[in-house]
Amino acid sequence: MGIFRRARRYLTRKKGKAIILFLLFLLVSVLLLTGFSILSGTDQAAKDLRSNIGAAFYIRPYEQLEFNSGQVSSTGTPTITQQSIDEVITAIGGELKAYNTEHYGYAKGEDLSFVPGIKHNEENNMGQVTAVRDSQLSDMFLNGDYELLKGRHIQPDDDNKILISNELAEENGLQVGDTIDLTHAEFGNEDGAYIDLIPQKTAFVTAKIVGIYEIKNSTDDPAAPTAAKAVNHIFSDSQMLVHLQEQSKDVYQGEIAFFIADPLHLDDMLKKVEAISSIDWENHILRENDFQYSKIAGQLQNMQNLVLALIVLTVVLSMIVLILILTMRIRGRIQEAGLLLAVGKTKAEIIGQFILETIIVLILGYILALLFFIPVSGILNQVLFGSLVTHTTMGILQTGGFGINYLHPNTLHSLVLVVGECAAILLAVTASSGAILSLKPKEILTKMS
Amino acid sequence: MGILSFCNLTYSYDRKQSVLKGINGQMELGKLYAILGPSGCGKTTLLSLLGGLDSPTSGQILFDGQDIAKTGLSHHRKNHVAFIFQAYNLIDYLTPIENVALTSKLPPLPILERLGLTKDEAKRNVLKLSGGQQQRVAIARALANEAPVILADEPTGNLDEDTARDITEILKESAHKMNKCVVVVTHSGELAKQADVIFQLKRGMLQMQK
Repeated sequence: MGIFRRARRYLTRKKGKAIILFLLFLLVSVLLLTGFSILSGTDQAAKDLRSNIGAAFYIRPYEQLEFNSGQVSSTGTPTITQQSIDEVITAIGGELKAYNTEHYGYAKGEDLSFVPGIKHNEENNMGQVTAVRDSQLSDMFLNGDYELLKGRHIQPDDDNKILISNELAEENGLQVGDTIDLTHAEFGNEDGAYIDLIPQKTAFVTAKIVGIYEIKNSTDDPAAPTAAKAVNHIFSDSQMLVHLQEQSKDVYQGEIAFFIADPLHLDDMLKKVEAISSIDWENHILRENDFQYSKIAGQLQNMQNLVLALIVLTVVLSMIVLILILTMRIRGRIQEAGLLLAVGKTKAEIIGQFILETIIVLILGYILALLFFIPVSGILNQVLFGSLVTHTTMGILQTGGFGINYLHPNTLHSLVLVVGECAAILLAVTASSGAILSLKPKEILTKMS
Repeated sequence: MGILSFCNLTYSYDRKQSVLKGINGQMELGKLYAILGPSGCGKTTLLSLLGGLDSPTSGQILFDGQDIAKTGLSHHRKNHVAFIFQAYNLIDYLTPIENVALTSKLPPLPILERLGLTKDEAKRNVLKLSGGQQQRVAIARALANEAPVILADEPTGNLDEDTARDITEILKESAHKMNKCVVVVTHSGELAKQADVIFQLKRGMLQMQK
């Protein structure tokens, strides 16, 4: 009778012992599957999180001030050119997800009534324009201070397209798709009165309203003039301010935002960008934003460390319990071992039978653990990773990933785990049998008697 | 020349207390041998050495002229000898048929039936059999592997008189009719009387009495 048949007979006829071992393996397998799934799931979630929330850095030119005879005066705001932007894009390489440019100006419309501020009159009936490459990447929309209500955002290929506020649209009875005639303007202050510094109008455009936005988290200062009121703020494409002669083509005086895929690479990117010589770093500020990735990543790292500690604890405790149980079992089978030796079975064959019995129970326990864990992993995934997306502010730049079950055990990991458990059993059974099977057959038989 | 012989066989525990002091002997097929002696004189030790369960301190044990230390003790146990123990030593999760099948080169049921077990008893849990029936299973297991030598350690020690007589008869038949070399360590005078050869082990020396 071979070891397979003996092992099968033992397991089917010593049901109580087999069930205890089965329950132990079931418990250990569930714990280890959970632990390793969380460990690898956290790692994958961290990668997805990095890729989804990404990071950004901004190059902002700042106004140059001059101190002269105790007086402070502005010498102008430097600009950044498309050529410099292209150099930055080259330095970033494939990591770039998107970028945005900004330029500022003012606009008036003959038939357009802006929401009045203080000292409002026909001359200062104007609004501030922010010309952007992609309005959804503007800080105000990213932060959720502004929200698109109708229509669409300004896109890179647009020409004479604008977004206006809900209040401005209502004031003038405008809707998405309407067109308005705009001309250039410049806000100024003369003897306490707010005036237009461009009285002679030479540039005109017909702009199409492509979207209407709502201001969610911002309130206007009651003392603000018409041109400074948030509700009068117009977002346009870059072409419009060029047509209104308020911007030179491919030259920007506002902040340029670059969005990259992996926050871990942010520092390296910044070093590369700082090395670009066409940007005068004396009057440009470089700032970064990892969208709280470091904070979230820290929490994920803490979770990984905790899970790793629990895995180590589970493995150590399981091994101790397993060795104790197996030692007691095998000592109880000393008579069988002695008899098998007496009939000429080798020690390897006897240990082989003990190992085989244990591995059969382990595999049954592991399969049940896997069947149990697969549906549970979905619930656990929701508990552990479900709220991850709500912690990110960069929803619009997400490339997917969230919504998957990070804890779903993959075939390779499951295989590695079961092989690891088999190796542990090999070790535990050998250690447990070692004390008995190191004896000579006669010594075993003496113990038997 | 006998099937099993030993020469200058010594055995001592921890190399101090000598149990066997250079004994010699020879055993042949077709005979029943009884080894007698007081408790602790080394009878079971001698049986263990003959069965390859332990190694002598010095001396040689030859099976069919070959030193079992050279051919391998495990090989000797598997192919040349079969054991019958006082405590039967059956595996409790196997039926009598399966216990016999552990070593059997022959179908187990006819052997068990020949030793007096019914078909139903042969499929029962061994622990539900009587002591005599369990010893019959142990003997069946010894006979089934067709080893030429059967080594029995107090095979009737735990049995009542009638059953012991039956078992003695089976051992005798195994030697005489099945041409086995049956070596029995016993305190039983009745069993010894049935033996063809009696060895007396005393103070480490072996004497042939019959």
